[in-house]
Formats: sequence, structure tokens, C-alpha cells
Amino acid sequence: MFSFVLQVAQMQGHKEHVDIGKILQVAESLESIVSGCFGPEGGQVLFIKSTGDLLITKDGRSILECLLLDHPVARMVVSAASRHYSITGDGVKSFVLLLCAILRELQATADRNQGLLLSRKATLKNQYQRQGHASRRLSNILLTFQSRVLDPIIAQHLRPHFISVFSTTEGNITLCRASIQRTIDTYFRGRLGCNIHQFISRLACEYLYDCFLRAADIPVVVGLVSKYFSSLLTEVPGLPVENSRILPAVILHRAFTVYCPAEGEVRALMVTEPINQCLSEPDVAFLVSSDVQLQQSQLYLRQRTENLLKLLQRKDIRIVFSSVKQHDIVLYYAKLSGISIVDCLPSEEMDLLSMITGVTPKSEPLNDFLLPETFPVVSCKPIVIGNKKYVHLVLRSSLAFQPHSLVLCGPVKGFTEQLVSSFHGAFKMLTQLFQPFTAVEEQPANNADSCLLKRTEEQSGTCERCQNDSVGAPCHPENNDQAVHMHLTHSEEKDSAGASREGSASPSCGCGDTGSIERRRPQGPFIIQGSYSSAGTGSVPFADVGLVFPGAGTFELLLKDYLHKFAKICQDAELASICTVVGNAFLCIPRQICKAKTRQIHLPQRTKEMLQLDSLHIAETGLEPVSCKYQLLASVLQCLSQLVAINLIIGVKKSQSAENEETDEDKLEADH
Amino acid sequence: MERLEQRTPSLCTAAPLTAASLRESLSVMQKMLSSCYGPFGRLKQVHNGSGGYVATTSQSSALLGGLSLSHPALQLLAASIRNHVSTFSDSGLFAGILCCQLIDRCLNLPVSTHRVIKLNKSLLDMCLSYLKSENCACKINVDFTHSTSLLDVTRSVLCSKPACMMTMKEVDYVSLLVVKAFLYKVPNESHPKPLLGRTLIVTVEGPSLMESAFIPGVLIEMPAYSWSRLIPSSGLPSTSIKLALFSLSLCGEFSDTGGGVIDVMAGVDPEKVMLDQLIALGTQLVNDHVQVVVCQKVIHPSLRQYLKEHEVLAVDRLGATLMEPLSQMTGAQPIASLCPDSACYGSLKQISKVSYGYKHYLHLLPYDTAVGSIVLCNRNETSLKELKRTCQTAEHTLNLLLKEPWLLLGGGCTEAHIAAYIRYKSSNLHGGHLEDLRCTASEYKLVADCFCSSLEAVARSLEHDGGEILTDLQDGHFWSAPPDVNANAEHAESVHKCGCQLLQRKDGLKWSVLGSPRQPFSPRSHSDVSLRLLAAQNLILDGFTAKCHALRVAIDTAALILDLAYVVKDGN
Repeated sequence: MFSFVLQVAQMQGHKEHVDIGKILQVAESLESIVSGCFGPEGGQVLFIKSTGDLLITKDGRSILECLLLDHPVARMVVSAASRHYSITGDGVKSFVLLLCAILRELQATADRNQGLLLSRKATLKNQYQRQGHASRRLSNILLTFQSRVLDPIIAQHLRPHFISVFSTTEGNITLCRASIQRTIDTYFRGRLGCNIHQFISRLACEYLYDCFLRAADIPVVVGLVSKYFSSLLTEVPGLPVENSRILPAVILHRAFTVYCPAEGEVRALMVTEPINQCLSEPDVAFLVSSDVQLQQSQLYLRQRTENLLKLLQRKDIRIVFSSVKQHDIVLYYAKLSGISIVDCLPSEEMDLLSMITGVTPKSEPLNDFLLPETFPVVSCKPIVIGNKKYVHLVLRSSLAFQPHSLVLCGPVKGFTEQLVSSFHGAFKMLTQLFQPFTAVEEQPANNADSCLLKRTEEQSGTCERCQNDSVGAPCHPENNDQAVHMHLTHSEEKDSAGASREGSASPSCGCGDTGSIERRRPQGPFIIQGSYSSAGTGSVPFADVGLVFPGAGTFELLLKDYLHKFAKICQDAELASICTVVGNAFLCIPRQICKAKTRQIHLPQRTKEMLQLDSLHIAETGLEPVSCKYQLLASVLQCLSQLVAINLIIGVKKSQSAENEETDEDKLEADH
Repeated sequence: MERLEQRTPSLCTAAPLTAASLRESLSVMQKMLSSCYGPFGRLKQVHNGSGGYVATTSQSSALLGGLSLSHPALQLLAASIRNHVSTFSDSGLFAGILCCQLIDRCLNLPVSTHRVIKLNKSLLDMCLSYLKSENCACKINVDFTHSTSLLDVTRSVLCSKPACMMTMKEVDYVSLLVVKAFLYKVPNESHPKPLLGRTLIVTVEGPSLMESAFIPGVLIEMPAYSWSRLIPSSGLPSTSIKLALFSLSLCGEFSDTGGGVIDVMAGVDPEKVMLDQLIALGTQLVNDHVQVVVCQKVIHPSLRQYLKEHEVLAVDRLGATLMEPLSQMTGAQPIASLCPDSACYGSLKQISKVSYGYKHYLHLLPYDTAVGSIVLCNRNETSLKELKRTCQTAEHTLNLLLKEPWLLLGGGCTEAHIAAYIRYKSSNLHGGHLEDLRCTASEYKLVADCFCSSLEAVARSLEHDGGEILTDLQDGHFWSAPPDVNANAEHAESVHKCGCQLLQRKDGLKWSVLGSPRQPFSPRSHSDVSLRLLAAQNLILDGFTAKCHALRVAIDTAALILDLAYVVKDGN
């Protein structure tokens, strides 16, 4: 039995110097755990909570969080990864792997060539100062690298390889189902066990398609699903995963408190206050002055409740949705008046109802002269899911969003929880996918950042120029017409874009195979975006949303190639070395995937293979949203630049700090 | 992040499945479960070692509920089985044994885990589609016009739990009661609102099991001393009785006054006001000719006295569980107001007093509804509890028949038969299927062998006395031979009927030891055995739904456990 406790230094009351080596040590211990669960071949983690509950997960965030790490650096990594997860719903494991790989490369470079990153200020005397300065500088360079090198490279060189999930035929925007399915597939492959990911990803795609009518609404719909996710979903432990299904309309996760069957369309009401009133309120005292008064008051309150419900009955209101518990007497009179009541509804479900119906419940007690707004209900019936009773509610929705409910089953509770969180993550990922990918907007020419790149491009000679041609710059007139062909279905594009590509691109020195993508047009339903969007953003809708890229490390391999090429021509030695370092580090992800698949392929050769995109190939690599990939790189670089800037960890004794929140920050504080 | 105590980091175990400790605890678990399995299963005593309650049982629900498991993977297994049992009541042991067997065997395979998981899943699909197909030879359709198969399955369920301590005669008697109760609650087709009734189980410790009974209506327990106080002087009301059911407390307390302050001036007596209202309620009830008042909560003694004076029977402290059956049975609305509407009253056909052992009950008999009670008697508490659980299982199994009206042959025959079927199918697999699964023929064969032998091992667990298990090479049924017969030729002589009692020994039947290496054969299909299935009497049968689900749970759980890369334990 191989078991280990993560080596955690006792932080109480002492100082610890931090350098890249130390950070790497911490990161590697995280990596060793995460890598076992990475990718389609990764295993799952069984977590036993302190309460004895089980959680079975393959999700990076849950894994990292359940480790309950104590080391401040580890906690910083975990919280940065969690932040990344909250944006993209994915990529925590890649985050750790990438972070670790970059650190390792940095360390290797430092070992090999002590002076490279601190060559300029070698005059500083003591080693401690020198080290502090170097790490500070490294932190800055990492951020510079992101804004000056990475962003432009993605914008200029990678953009042509992006694939859009949208296609436009005669002005109609349609969503390419195969691409979406593939993207969701790829996501679930990393998140769930091998025997169910296919079933669940089909379910997710079907669910997505059930929820919208027109492709143009999809960004809104995905956002809404992601927002109201917890209410749209029902968890059923104790049934096989295969019993998971989609139900039309909304499931309220409460049983009817009073159920009176009603046929046809009826009207309903939402309340947030008890209908029955008591003698006193929290801020209203009641004075009992005589026996008769007390008796009369109690009688009045009873009759008031009775009259209110009779009034609702007269107004043809047959259902009352309540966020609070209603008194037994209300239920009794409701039953007599033929009104169904669902009470104790959680606030999220009330929000969902008011979002769909457009009716906001008033937070004041019901009274008989001013009733709140009502809404029509097509049908409202009890439904049994698993062995619990819920309310199945069909509403008439005028929204783009067609509400559907998802029932997720699993053998044990800890497993359904995981299904739920992976579904939620999938919709976060989709939200990210359908958000405009603005991070790689073309920089204005006078910007210092792009000047840097321009300069290096000029120096690069023929190679770069031909690449520049094939990619196109906004000022070149011949490229403007290409922008028009941006979203063509594959048949059309085959003639037009392919032909224009033949003319403009001349494959040479490595970039050649990038140009060939368009010519080796896939016969499958994938649409490859012909050009980057800066010229056509205004005219073509959805140009910036729904961009995907083949998965399984293709993105990283390609980026590594470009970074290395850039490093060769970059004059800034520090920047060039960072480019090499990061470029090498990117290899860790395809390497990890290959390692798991057991068939060893020499990586540099695979780069070329990868780029020959045909549908068969995409079927194997899957698709990943570009924005998530980009976000991952940005998050990693940011986290890294924070980490390397720390040089001292100060442990604070517990007794000294009254506020515990402070101690966390104290521990992590960078003193430069 | 606010926390008062220093958290200790979790303990992380890598590759938990290669550990010897898992193998050990898995095999202990498997031995424990399989020794409980079947009608000859050994009983387990579960107790906490410090004078707590001792349960004698062989049921998975009672057994797993009482255990505290050390290994996380076993906790997962137990949680999975308990979830299954809570939904289907039956086949928990089957799922547990199969899962343990499968994990143990799969760990030894020289095939990558993910491939094993995928292949197991495809084999499972093959099983389930066979079981659901018309062609399945180990399935019988339930004929609701005869009670034969209903009685058979109930008897099989009751027999499989030896801790109930029943003789065959008693088993027959109790299964008759259970089936009677089931048929009573199934509504007639002509009924306008087909709503399944309910059966309440009342347990009485002491009397002999043969005094158990099925009674239509509801029993409310009454302590002997309260009888004289309860019954009005004129005795119990006789026929067509009007009943009022209160969910509101009639204790006369001045409560429900809201969250604010109540100032009571001198000379005002809220309790008196409340009591006045209660008496007014009593007057109204008397005027409405209500003869029985049942209250979920407490009735004020004065009101009770008042009602008794007016020849009204008042029963209080009913509890929440009986409210719904009572409301369903009598048509009464639970009243939550001190001014009841006359539409809320329900009606009863008859009220009488019944006694079982030393317990006395008020028996409420409705006109025409599907609520009934089974009174279960047994000599001691443990076997009574076990009997109650078993009857609930049987009832649940019968309920499931309404959705899926099929039963599977029991006594190990279904498992042996499916194993034979899968062995035959997997040996005749065409290449395309293998390509879909992305595996080689030898890998497929290994995994299929492992799957089948796990199924056969479950069937073997039915035999606890060291006897030899045989299978016939015609239908692939399960035959158990006594342990003292050794020579191969004599095996066949000593067995007369197969596990499910469907087949009888006849000449020309070929035999083989179950699980021994042999040429795969195709078991006879449904059409060949359908006549026999129709004519058969006194079969051993299992519920179809529960068994199929258990099969799936076992494979799914095994897949989850096999796929574990790490176990992380929060030690706080």
C-alpha cells in the first residue's frame, strides 16, 4: 500500500523562504494526484468527508478542495484554480499540470543558466537581494509575456485554425450539432468515468437543444440554464445512471401540500408571506382587553383566511406557490376551496418561476382588495421521481428559453452530486463558449505591445511575411473579401475560400501545414472559420462566439511551435527565454494524454499529424472551446506571476490574531 | 475562511485497489453476504457489544445498516446496495455478492481497467436485453387471473429469510395473507379513480404466528385501561357512522399568537376563551350528529368529557402516519379550523374492538375502500421484526408486478441460465462487435468468462452445506447435489429437481459441474419451455424488476470501485 500525507510544513510561528524550487515542490505534490485523474483515461477519486458522506469525483476542483491543504502556497494554487473553474467550469487539472510544467521548466532554466533571468542587475551584492529582485522581475515578465506575446500570437496565428460551432446558410445562423456534441463529449470525457460519459454527454446535448428554439438565442439560453441550474435539475440517488432523462417544463422540488386536481389551463399566484395572520407580529404587540375581544379577534382572523381563499377561488386561482410555510388552517380552507398549495419553495425556484412568468411576487401579506398579479399555468400535477414526490409544472413561456428539467440518477448520493456538478460545469463551459472571444482582439498599430511583435515579424523575413499574408491583416484589400466568407458551410467554402487560399498562401517553413488546413477540408459537418474576425465583427453576427479548437493537446502543440518560432526572432533575451520555457511547458498536456493512451507517439511528429484536420481526426481529439483554453493560459500565468513574487512565508501564531481572516492573508503576504 | 480548530489535511491513498487490505475486506464482506444468501443462509447477530439491541437477521438492509465499515470502497458498496434496497426492497444480497465477486475477479485480469469496465457494461446490456426480450427462457408472465404465481413469489420471498423462523405451513399461511392484502388494495377496473390502496402492518409480539390475520380497514391501538374511559355509555356506535378527523390540536392551549408580544389585561383568561371555543366546537359536532371524533394531536379533557356525555366517541393522539390512510378510507378531510365545514366529515361502516395477544385495537371498518391491515404475530421481537421486513419486501415485490408483470425463475436458475447464455453468445461473437468495443477477442473472452463465473458464483452461494452444484446442458439450470455423493455419475442420480423446481430429472440429460470449463452451449429458448412454464406449480420465483436493477447496480458499483485512482479521507 502506497500512501502518503502531503508534506506540509508546520506554519505556526516561523518564517520560511520561498523560491521556485519550493513552489515547484508543492505544485508537484498536487500534480502527482491530479495526473492520475487527468484526461479520458484518468481514474476517479473517492473522498470520505468528515461526516462520513462519500463523494466520487473526477473533477479537479473537488479533488483539490477535498485535500484540505494547509501549506499557504498550495492553498493559493487551489484557490486560483477554483477561480478559474468558476469562470470556465473546467480545466482545473490542466491548470495544475501546466503550472507545474512551467515551474519545472523555469527551474531547469535557472539551474542550467544561473544568470539568464538576472543578467542585468548582477551588481546587487548579497544573494538574498539578488534573488528577490530576480523573482520580482520574473513576475513582471510573465505578465508582459501574456500581453505582448501570447495574446498577439493567438490573435494572429492561431485564429485561422479556429472552428466555429455556428454556420450561416443564406443569412440564417444555425448551430452545428455535431460540433456542439463533440465539444460536450470532450468535456465529459475528462469529467466522468469511461462507462457513462457518452450517455451523459448525449443527454447534455439533447437538453441544450430542447431548451432553445432559434440558434441566435443560444448565448442567452445557456446563461439562463447556468444561472438557474440548481432548480432545473433533480437528483435521484439509488437508480442507475441510465435512468437519467429530460422532462419538459419545470419540476418544483416540493410535494403538493394540498392537491386539488384541476383540468385545463388555470391561473396561479405567488406569495412570499403567510396567508394566515396571527394576533401579533414581531413588531406589533396585541393587547387583550377582554374575553370577548380575544374571541372576536380569533374568529375574525379565521374568517379572514377563509374569505381570502374564497376570494382566490372566485378569481379562478387554482394554485398558490408559497416561499414560506402556510398554516394548517390555510391548507384546510384551500382544500375546501379547491385550491392547490405548494409551500416552502426555495428562493431559487421562486426566482425561476418569476423569470419564466415575468411576475414578481410582492413581499406583503395578501389582502382582499389588492391581489397580486396572477399568471396562467398550462398544467400542474404531482410527479414521482425516484421515490420522492415533486410538482410538475408546465408554464406558458414567451421567452427564448424553453424550460426543461433534467433528472440525474446514480447509484449513490456522492455520485449524483458529481453528475450534477459536472453538468453545471458543462453549462459554464458553454456559457464561456458563447461569450464573445474578445481577449484576442487585434491591437491597434500604434500600441507598444503590437509594435514589439511587428518589429520581430519584420525581422523574421520571408517566413513570417508569407504567414502574415495567409492570415491577413485588416489593411490588405485582398483579405477583406475573405472576411465575407467567414461562415460558409463546407460545400460552399470548398470552392471559394479554398480557391482564394490557394492563391494567397504559399506553404513554407512550418507555417505551411497551417495553411493546408483549409484545403484539406473535412467532409464532416465541421465549419472552419476562414479568417480572423477583426474586419468582419460588425457585419457578421456570432463571429466572435462559439469558437472551438481540436482537443487532445493540439492547441498546446501548435502554440508551442509558434512560441518557439517567436523566441528565435525575439531580441529581448528574457522574453525569448520565457517563450521557450512556456512553449516547452505546454507539451506536458499532450504528453499526459499520450502517456495514458499507452501508445507512445513521438510528439514533434504529431504536431504535423494533428493539423491535418479531418472529421475522423476531430472525432478522436474532440473539440474544446477556445475561450476556455485562453482563459486557462491567462489564469496560469497570473497565478504564476503571483507565486514567484513571494519570497517569504510568515506564520502567525493563532493567539495573536483575533480575526482568522487576517491570518490567511498574512501568511501569503509578499513582502516586496 | 473562518475556522476555530486547526484542520488536519486529508489522508490520500493512491491506487487503493492494489492494496491487500481491500482484497481482504472485500473477501470478508463477500463471505458474510454469501453466507446469508438464500433459504439455507446462515443467520447473523448484529449487536453493538455494549448491551444494545441484538438483531438476528440475514437481510441485507438490516445487516448493512448495522455495520460500520472500515474500508472506503466497501462503504461505497454498502451505500449503493442500501440505496437499491430502499427503492426495491429485494435482491440486496444478490447485488452485493455479485459486485464483490466481480471486483475480485476483475482485479486479477490482465486487461486495462477501463476496458474491463466497458466490456462489463456491454455484457450487462446483453443480459438485460435478453431478460427483457420475448425469447427469455427464465422469465414467466404473471397471470393476474390466477393467484398461483403471486403466491409462489411471495412464498419464495418469505422462504428466503430463515430468520423469520417459520415452518412451511406458516409460510403458506403468511403468503396467503400478503397476497390477500395485495389483491384487496388493487382497485377494480371499473373504479373511476384507480388509486392503489395501502396495506398497514401491525405487529403483535407473543401470540403464535398462525394467529396473524388480514383485516380490511384501520386498527388503532388502545391501551386496555382507557377502554372504559373511552367508550360512551351507550357503547360503540353501530352502523353508518359519521366521523370527523382533526389535524388541529384540540388541547385548548392559547398558542399560535405570532411572533409579537401579547399583553393580557387583568381579569382576562385566554385559556377560558379557548375552552369556550372548544366547547362551542363540541356543540357543533354534536348538532351535526358526528359520532366519532379522531384527532391527530391531543383533545382537551373537558371537550372529551363533553363529547362522551353526548355519546360521541373521541380518539386522540393518532399520530401523523395514520392520518392519510384514515382520510383516504373514510373520505374525511383533516380539519384544521375550530369552525369545521360539514363537507369535511367522513363515514364509517362499523367500529369494533379487536384484541390480539395482550393488545387491544379499535377497528375502523370503511364502506368501500382499499385500505387494509395485516396483523403479524410472532413469538419474539427479533423474528417479528424480521418477519415485518420480509412481508414489506414481499408486498413491494408484488407492487412492482403491476408495472412489469414478469417474474424470474429463482433458486439460482436464472443466474446459471444467464451465465450459460452469455458464455454461448460471447463465444460466437462477430468481429464487428469487437471493433465497436475496441478490444481483442481474447480480451473479450477473458472479461466475459470473469462476468459469467461471477454470476455462477452468486448461484453457488445458495449452497451452504458443501454440496456439489451441477448444471444441465439443455437449459443451463441450477441443480444442487448433496455433499456426500462423490462420483460424477451418481450426481445426477441424487438430484430430482432443479433450483427453481421447474425441471425434473430425466434420462438423457447431460450434466456438468457449474462453472467448470466446458464447451459453451445454447440454452433452450422460450418457445421450447413455454408449455412447461405455463403448467408449472410451486415454483421458486424472484421479482423481475428488483433483480434486473440489482444486476445493474452490481455492475455499476463494481465499475465505480474499479475506476478509483485515489481515496482521500478527511480525518477531522
